[in-house]
Amino acid sequence: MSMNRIRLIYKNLWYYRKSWLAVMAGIMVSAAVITGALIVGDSVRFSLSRLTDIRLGKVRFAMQPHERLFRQELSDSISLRLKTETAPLLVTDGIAINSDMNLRINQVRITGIDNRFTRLWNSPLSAPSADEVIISRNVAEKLKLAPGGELLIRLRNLGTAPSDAPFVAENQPSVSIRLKICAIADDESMGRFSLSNNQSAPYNIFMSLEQLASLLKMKGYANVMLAAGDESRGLTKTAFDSALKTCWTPADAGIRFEKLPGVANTTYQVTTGRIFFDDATAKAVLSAFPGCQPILTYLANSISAGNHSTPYSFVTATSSSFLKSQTGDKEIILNDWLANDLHVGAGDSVTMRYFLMGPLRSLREDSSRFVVTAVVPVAGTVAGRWLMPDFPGMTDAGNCRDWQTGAPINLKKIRDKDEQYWKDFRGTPKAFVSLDAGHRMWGNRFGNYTAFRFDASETDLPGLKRSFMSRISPAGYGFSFRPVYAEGMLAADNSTDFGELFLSLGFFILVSALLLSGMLFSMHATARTRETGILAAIGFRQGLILEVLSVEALIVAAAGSILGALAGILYNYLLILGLNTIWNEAVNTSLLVIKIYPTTLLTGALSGLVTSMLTLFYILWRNLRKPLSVLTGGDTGLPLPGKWKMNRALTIITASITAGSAVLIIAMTLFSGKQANSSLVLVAGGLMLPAGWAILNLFLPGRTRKAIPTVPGFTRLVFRNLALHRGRTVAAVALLSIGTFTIIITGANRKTLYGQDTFRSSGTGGFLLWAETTIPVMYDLNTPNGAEIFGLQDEEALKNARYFQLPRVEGDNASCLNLNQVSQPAMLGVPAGQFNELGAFTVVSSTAPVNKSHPWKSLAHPLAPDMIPGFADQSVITWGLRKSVGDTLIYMDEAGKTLKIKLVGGLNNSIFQGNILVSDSLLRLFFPSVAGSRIILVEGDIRMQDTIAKRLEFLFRDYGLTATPTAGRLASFNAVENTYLSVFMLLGGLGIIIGTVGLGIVLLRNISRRNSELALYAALGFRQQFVLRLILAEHAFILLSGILLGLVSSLPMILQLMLSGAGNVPWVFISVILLMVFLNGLAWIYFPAKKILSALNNNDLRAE
Amino acid sequence: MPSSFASLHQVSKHYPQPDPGIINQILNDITFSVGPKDSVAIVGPSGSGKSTLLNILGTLDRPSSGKVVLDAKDTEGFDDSRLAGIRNQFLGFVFQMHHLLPQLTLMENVLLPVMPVHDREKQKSAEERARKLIERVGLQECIHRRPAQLSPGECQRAAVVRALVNRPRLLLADEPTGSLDAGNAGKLGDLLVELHRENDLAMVVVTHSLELASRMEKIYHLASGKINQIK
Repeated sequence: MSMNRIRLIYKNLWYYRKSWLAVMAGIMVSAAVITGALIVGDSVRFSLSRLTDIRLGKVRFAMQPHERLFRQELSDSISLRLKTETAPLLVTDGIAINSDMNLRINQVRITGIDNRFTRLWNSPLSAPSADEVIISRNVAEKLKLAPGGELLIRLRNLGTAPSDAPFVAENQPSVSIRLKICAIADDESMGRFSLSNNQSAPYNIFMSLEQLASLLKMKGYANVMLAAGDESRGLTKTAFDSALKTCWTPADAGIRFEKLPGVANTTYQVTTGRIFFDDATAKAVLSAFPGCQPILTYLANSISAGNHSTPYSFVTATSSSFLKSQTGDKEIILNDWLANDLHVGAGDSVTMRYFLMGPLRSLREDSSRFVVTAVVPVAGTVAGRWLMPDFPGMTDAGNCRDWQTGAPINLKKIRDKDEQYWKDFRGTPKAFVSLDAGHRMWGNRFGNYTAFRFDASETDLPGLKRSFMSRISPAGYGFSFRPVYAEGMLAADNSTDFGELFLSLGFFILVSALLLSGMLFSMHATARTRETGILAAIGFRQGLILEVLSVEALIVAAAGSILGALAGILYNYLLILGLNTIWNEAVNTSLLVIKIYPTTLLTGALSGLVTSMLTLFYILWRNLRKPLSVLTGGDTGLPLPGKWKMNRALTIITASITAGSAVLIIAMTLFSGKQANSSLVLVAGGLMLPAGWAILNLFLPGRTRKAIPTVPGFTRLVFRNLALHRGRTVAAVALLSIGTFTIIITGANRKTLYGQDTFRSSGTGGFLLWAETTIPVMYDLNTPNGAEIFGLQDEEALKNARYFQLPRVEGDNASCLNLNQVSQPAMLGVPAGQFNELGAFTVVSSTAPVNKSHPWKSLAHPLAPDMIPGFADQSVITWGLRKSVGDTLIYMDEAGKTLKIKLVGGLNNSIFQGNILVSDSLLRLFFPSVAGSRIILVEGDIRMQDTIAKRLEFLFRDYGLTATPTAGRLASFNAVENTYLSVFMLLGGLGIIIGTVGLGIVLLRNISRRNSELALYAALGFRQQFVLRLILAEHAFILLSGILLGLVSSLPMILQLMLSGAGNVPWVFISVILLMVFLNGLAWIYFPAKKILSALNNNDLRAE
Repeated sequence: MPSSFASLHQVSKHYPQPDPGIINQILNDITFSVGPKDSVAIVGPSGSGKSTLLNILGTLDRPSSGKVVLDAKDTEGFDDSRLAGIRNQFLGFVFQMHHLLPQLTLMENVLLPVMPVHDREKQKSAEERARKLIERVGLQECIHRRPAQLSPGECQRAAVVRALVNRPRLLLADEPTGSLDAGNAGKLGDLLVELHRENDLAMVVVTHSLELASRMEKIYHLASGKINQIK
């Protein structure tokens, strides 16, 4: 028989298996927390990637021009050219109604598809026929519909012309159709189709492309193109964009070339379906067709001279070449019909009145005075009636009274002769002014021209068209392919890191488990102190002793870590189960699946091993530093005589530095007058914890300089006993104080409103309702005209209501409801001036040029020609966008140019979460086609909140309006954070339990090591009740100290929350939690103590 | 002139106390030596520093001042590793409590000091010697028993065998009979004296037992930090 290391280690492990198992359990918990958290991270990332696969099928690229349409044939041309599958879609928003059951969904996405789309999915479904519809599973469930049932859809009308452009009538904001449900699309078969990087399921309705196009009067047109692609075949974004440039035609850009009828020369007219030519297209036309004549035709409300006035006349501003005479800025040419009507001739003056249109169809009448320079025959104007743009609602009108102009028409002013003129000459202009005069009067954000005319031979025309096409690019019209699949995968990859999140959330358990296993190991090591001494005495080098003990620890830690990693799978199952069910509000989907990578298990196990070994090794190293004579004599647990001073000095230094830093930070925060940095305050609170431990260590009365010549009292006995194993006492207090601190801080940060929802500075801005429409509201609801159109003026509940209408540019949802990383959030245009006057919302962080007393004012002006300022919720900036105030977001404006939005301010937790806020006027400048408003903030009497919401929903039922109380909207965002905090508190609670287990262990250990002391009490005639009281008092002191220290350390944070008004401290909640911690701890003290004391019968005591 | 075999030269030892200005002086300028075959008893009142002196001589503690010479080597400046080597090869310890490791059998406990020896031959001969010593002390029936299965006297005899297994030249015993009853204490005293003679080794015994002390060739009295030879 020989004695070697392996044998010794084996024998040691076996003999001390119980205490090693306890240590291993602690290590297992810490490894499980790490591994579980990492697996959650992997699972969420994997689930989001899977959702990208599900929502996109074979789609890899998509083209989604902003408010523009293109020919469906363009899709086929690109498909042919690149030899890949493509699909044109017509996508619009709508409202889905199950009229039988009176159920509706206000926000559905209606997509016109044909089999080119269904081929992009591995789905057995084929495209619906004209009278059929396919609905996604969630629509079917919400509306309680099944195949064979009927669905009523109200869908948003689309038009080629921007709805806000002058004289574009809001013909019919929506159209309805009743269709038969032919199939229900499951998640995996196009039911989740969406181009947005969002894990929540969209409400999808698929109908026949042809039927939808016909319904919207867009036959042959589409507004989204999808493409399958495979980079290995060279099908990249560049390839698609290049194919697009080759295949697109003027019609895709909305440009029409028409030969003018009845004209001697071969004259062509160029017009656009958007009524007004945008600047880039106008420039291209002017340079591609030299000598062409630009035209701007506008509707004048009246042209008058003296007592004579002619209502509603078209007036054309054009070049002198067109007019064949030089016309000055203040000169006008009339046709003879108008001249006769006004009784004027050359040299007379006339006054022209016309509307200027602002946002939300706000009208301002302006006038200009002109001198008549010539009168021309009405029939003599070149193809006169073609000069009038193709205004929807006017061109086809049978008579003037049927005009739908988007501006009020006073029917009383229309005379029979005016009707006759319309019949004879339609929109032929009655007057002509210079182009400069036209631009001065009618120039607008949509453009300054309505047509161009040029002469060309039949043979020259194709060349000229090519020359024109070479001057414009698809990107300039927002026609550009996005690698939507790659973006989705990237967004999923960079999504909220749940691994990191749950590691933070479970951090307290991790710390508690490590402290507990450290405490257990320390007890284990102390119990083996004499053994260590003997090994040293018989000639074991310290290195060898360390080696033996370390290998033991390593084996235990490795086993604990491996088992912990496996237990982490179970922990992960529970977390994912929680996220898919009770914590669903945090992730907004129930499709999270578990994904376990072996490398993650390995990482978790190794992390557990490293952290636990660091803890264990430190304890071993500390123990072995003791002199051998002490080791052979057995460790009392007391510091060595020589260490007293050093320990005391170190404790004083620790207490001074930590407490001093905490006080300094708190003082700086209180007196700086600036918005308190909550992270700093949290750090200050955190520093108070070690300060408290150090102070407790310092003042535990174990080191009296002089013996007190009195009979020791109960209290002195309690403190002497606590001081005997001060390390253990302080460790138990530390465990409890960290737990209490964590739970209070978490509880205090739970977001509540508690009646603050009417404050202007709150996250609601003091607004009553957040109303969202599916179909844009085109009119200003605060004007009599707007109120009349929607019937608001007749509603008693709405008498004092005020509306703030916000235009929106669609984008991804950057709120905490979306787990994916978002780069282009939806953009909201806010009335910055009005918000400034109201002092609405609170800006918590800002950078130049924000004036802190009037932050909203800074949004009004661009920072550079291609850069505008923007605000967002601070949480969106930090977590949704992973950016900081001062950073810039890159967008493409409507003309395909780069638009930078500099984040100049971060709002405190607001109803705008998920959006970027810019000035409404700047938004309309860069996105002129954004029509009306989709978001309406309603201000009114809070007592009427429900009534106002119901009336608005009724009045705007065809617009799919959903009114949510602003406090409710904020609460839904808060619910996400609160859910995280709930998870944190739950895990913190588990940590507290581990802490109290630690306390129980300290107690058990203390009692078992104090048999002789207890025997002495018995021998001295003390009753068992006294001993129980003594033990309870000692451990209750630990419990109360821990709770009190945790509470005191959390006070700075609570104070900051109270002062900043950012949150309301839920005192009741905190009190309940603290009481629970106390009672739980008390139970862990009382019952084991009582049991052990009862078990210690007289024989045991006599043995001592 | 102190012996170069094992000696203390002007050794003092004091412990600082938490209260400033108070120093606990245990040993004061002690010079003391042991010859290669000496058997020495150190007696004195409790708290006089007997165990401290033995710990310093056995390199388990370091003096506050003075020199410790073992095997003709001044141990001052020796690192832990060299001191461990001296304890393993030159010294053998017997304590008041046997300090056998509860997880090991008697044989394993006895062979524990062989573990740091890397020489395979020495290890083999140590195993042989262990068996002989165990037989010599009458524990051959107990070699596979654990300390918990042995009587206190058996445990203390096993501890003596453990101290001798590496053929030390100086055996240090701190109250070796202190935890035994009179019968067992007498037997252990006999055993120590016999083993001292049989194994040709020096022995220093710290004891309160005058009976045990009287069986040593020399007796020193330690009190108030000073040492005086009384036999």
